[in-house]
Amino acid sequence: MVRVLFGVERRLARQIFEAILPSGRDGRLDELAHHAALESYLAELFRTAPLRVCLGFRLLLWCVALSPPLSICRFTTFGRLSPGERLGVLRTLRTSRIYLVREIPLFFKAFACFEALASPATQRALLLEPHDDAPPRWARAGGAGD
Amino acid sequence: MMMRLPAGRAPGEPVTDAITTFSDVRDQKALRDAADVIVIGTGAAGSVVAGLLAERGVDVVMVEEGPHVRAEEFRTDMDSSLKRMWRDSGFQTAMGRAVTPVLQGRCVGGTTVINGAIMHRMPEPIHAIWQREHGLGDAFSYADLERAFDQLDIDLSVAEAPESVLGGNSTLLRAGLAARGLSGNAIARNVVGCRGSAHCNQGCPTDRKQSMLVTFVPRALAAGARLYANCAARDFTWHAGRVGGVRARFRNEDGRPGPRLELQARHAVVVAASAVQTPLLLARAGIGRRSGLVGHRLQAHPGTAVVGAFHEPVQMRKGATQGYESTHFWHERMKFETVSMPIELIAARLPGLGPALVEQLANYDHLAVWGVQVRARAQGSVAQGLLGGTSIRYQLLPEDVHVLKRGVRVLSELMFEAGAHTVYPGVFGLPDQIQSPDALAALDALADDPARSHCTIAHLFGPALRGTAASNSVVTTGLEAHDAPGLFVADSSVFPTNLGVNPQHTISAVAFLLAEQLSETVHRRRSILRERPTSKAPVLQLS
Repeated sequence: MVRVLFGVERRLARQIFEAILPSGRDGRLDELAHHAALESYLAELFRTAPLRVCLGFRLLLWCVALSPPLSICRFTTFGRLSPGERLGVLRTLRTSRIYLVREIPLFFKAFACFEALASPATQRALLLEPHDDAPPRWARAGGAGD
Repeated sequence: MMMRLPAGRAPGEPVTDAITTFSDVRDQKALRDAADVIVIGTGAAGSVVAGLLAERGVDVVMVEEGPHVRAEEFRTDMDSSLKRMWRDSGFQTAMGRAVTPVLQGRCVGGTTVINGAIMHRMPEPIHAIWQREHGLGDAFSYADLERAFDQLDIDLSVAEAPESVLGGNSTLLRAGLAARGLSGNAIARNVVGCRGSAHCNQGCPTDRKQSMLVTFVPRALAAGARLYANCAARDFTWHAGRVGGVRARFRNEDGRPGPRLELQARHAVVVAASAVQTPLLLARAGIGRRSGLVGHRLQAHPGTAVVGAFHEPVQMRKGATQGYESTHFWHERMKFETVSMPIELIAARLPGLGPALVEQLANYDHLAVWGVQVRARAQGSVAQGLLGGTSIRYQLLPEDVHVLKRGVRVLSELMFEAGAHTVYPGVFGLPDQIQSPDALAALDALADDPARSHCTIAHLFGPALRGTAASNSVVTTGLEAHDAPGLFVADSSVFPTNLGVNPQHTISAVAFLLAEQLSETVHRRRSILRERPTSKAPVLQLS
């Protein structure tokens, strides 16, 4: 059970990832913002990462989910906020004086960037010539999460 | 020296049949093998020991916890590389006031497969400190080390990065240093015909980097050694008061356990499993307990990166991953070097979230990244952790943070000298981005708190200290465990201090000298025991 995210947790992860890396204003990065391979990325992450990372990921997901009352004084959950408000929550956490709190958005930012920017299609959208023509294993049909 | 090639194999032909991996033995319960010397680990130390011994007629078995990954399997996205070839999928961390990533390879070839290919000779002042303050005397004299460095330079094709592969990131650091009148140089690297793809950290996709995967490991195999990959050493066996073998276990890349492997060592076991894994192995076996030092006195080179944005394209994805450096401030305990990062890594380092971050990504080709690495005085520890992991404790001292802050300041100033319009210093308490060096003055007012910067650690030293007595060290000056005859430690665990420069060359040089000594010892013991050189022992099924 530790190595599988529940549906509600996967939705929460998607909301956080979309807040961190939304679509670009110029439309070039729409694919990036859809986080199309997120499910299989998370499945592979939870299959391969050390147990403590899986536990930490899950714990921090719930910290973000329940943080709005403390971060933006709204008595609701992260998932019920608008996209702009979600970004506001993450920005508030990022500026906390408490080290472990301000590291939470960076923790998810690292995963969001690995997931979204490893795709050759995204790199082409950024006008970077990718060295690998094929996407990572987890982003292919029949990959880890499929 | 003429290499001893197994019968029927042409020079240069891959020796893959001498490599046994999980998939080769998954259906078996237990296996055993025997050799003159068992070497644990195939990184900068283990593969050099194995290669040199095998070429001198010693029967060698190598045991490597990580997988055997060939260049054609390397992927250039960082995530795939981390999952396959880095320890703990890149999630290994040191805990203190801050959580600090500890970067290590975990594959055949070890960290040399995923490092920046930087080759530095050990600074003489550090060697003098080892002799004077740590009682090492003339064991492994600097002249001996120089001899090893000279030979390794040839074996690993060490040369300064040529102008053609420096790339924009490195030429900008050179320009910044020159503008301030500071010294710098193209980095000496173990690379042949570098194509400048900036993928050193994902594994060189064209095998141009002369990592141990393409140098000493194949040399050892060609000379008759055998390699067990996906196979972690767990414990030692004893025979007549000496360490007489190794117990290991295969695991697949998902961690599923496979058959056990029992290895008999006729003459010696060499542990070269890294400064994290070696002390854990020794501690599990109770070796070095009397000193109370196994796993302690861990030293490191913590480092952090400064990012600059330029009007002209920098194109970090073209050129050597690490092409230029400055040791101008070495006596102030810091060293600068360029670090070209793929977009998914630099994106996590850039400030901002949401649309602000996305806009920065479109500017990737205009970014430069330079790092400062500190010869820190802090000492930490390594021990077995919960949930099967490793517990590394390490916290920078305020004086180390002070040096780190100074490094960030100088690097930021150099960025502006080189023409950056914006610098991202990455220090909590400073603005996320600054447009003038004047803004750096605020650094001085910040407390020397390690939690204000994001450091990484790539070089570790010292948790199985080398010394003169069992009461104050774990291994002798000749690298044999005080309380476990026949067991030698060859990696940076035995270094009394950190070096202030990238350690691969020194680790390999010390291993080189150990291999010379061990070769003589094995041949002497053979003659005493009236042994003849043994042929390859086949893998035998126990049950």
